[in-house]
Amino acid sequence: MSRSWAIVVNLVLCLSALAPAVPAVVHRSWDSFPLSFYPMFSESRRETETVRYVQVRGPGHPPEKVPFGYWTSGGFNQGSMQLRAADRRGKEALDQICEQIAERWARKREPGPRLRVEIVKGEVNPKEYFVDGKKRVRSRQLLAQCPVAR
Amino acid sequence: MIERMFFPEVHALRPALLRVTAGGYAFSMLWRYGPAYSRLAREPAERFAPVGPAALFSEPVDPELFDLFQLGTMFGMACFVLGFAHRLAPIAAMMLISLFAYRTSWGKIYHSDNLFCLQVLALALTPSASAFSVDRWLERKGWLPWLRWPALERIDWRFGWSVQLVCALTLIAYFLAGWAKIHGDLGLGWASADNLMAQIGKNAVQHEFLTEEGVAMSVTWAFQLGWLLGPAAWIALLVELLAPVALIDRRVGQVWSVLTWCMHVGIGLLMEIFFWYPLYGLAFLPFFPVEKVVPAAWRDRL
Repeated sequence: MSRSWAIVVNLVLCLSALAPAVPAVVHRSWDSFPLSFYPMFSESRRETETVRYVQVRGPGHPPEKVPFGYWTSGGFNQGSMQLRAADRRGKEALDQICEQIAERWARKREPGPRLRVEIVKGEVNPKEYFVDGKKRVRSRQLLAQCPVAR
Repeated sequence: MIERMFFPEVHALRPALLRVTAGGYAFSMLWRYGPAYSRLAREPAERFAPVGPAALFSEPVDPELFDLFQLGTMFGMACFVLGFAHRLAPIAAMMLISLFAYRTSWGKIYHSDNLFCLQVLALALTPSASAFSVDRWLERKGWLPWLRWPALERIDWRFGWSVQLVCALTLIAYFLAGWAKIHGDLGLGWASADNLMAQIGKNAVQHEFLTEEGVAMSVTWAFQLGWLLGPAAWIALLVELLAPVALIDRRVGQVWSVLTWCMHVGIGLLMEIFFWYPLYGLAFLPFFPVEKVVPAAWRDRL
């Protein structure tokens, strides 16, 4: 193993690691693994955040939040991205996730009468929500709903 | 200076201990989360959005095949940690990278796995199994020379090359993260209390609505003590953009490591996003003379 060969290996690996900066300039949404330009936290944020979430509700059952584990084995960020991707793909994709969640809910929880799963989209002002205590979701939009089978 | 930066003479034990820590972390990830990755590989095909090596596949592979590949990767990582057949370590490293590329191909690209994968790759391509390894024992016996690196002096520039390459890849990752921030809409304006609060807020909203436990109290504190976030944002940005400087001098690298670790603690507290590899300190071990934890009399024996 000569120094020349070591320099070649260094150049190949380091330039490969730096390379994501190039497509990132052209296509800001580009990303990959393991080569990445690590765009975490780099996008500018608006005053309100769009959130897609899932809840179960029904007669005598107030809206109950459904955690991401009901539709993904990844983390909550992956759960969020999957809801967003389904929203983009359309009603069929949303209905599919809804049914998957309803089925898992029925298996894991005691399903009450006429419970339904709802996939909801809305806008939340983080400061208003977490500091001022105004826990409201603006511009609520029902994306999909489906019954929880007993 | 180039010689000192990239090829310092270092004891064989330093890259060897990095091999054990980086490889050990990779193995522990596979051991602990293997079942979750298997479930992920069984998700509906329409959620498959392949990246990196996984882009070779237009649709998900047979889940049973994935499970087999995962087992093979665990075996490869075990050999890597034990320092056995190090000539074949690049294969194990590529299997590791391919597996984690596949696991992140389901709608969200995770950035918590890149660093240890790249560090494992660098250690696999360089002589990091010349000490504290099965290969070292085989070397003494003169067995299976075709599976291991040739014998080297205990202190050699090749071991320094191994360590400095790992450092370089680590610093490039952090530099790119900083560059991505200033390349965005805000430019240097990213480093402001308002922006950092907005980033925390975005994450907090997702956490609140998508997790069982909701958001932590520290998030509320972050909003109430907002003015403190301005300096924190500047420190985070500078730590990332100036990362390459850490390669010039060993002490600068160590100070940079401590500051970056503090940044990760802050991210964990305020955003409940935990980059465990850096938080455990493992990502920054290459910047320290780790062989010194072993008494000097033992170093040449291992």
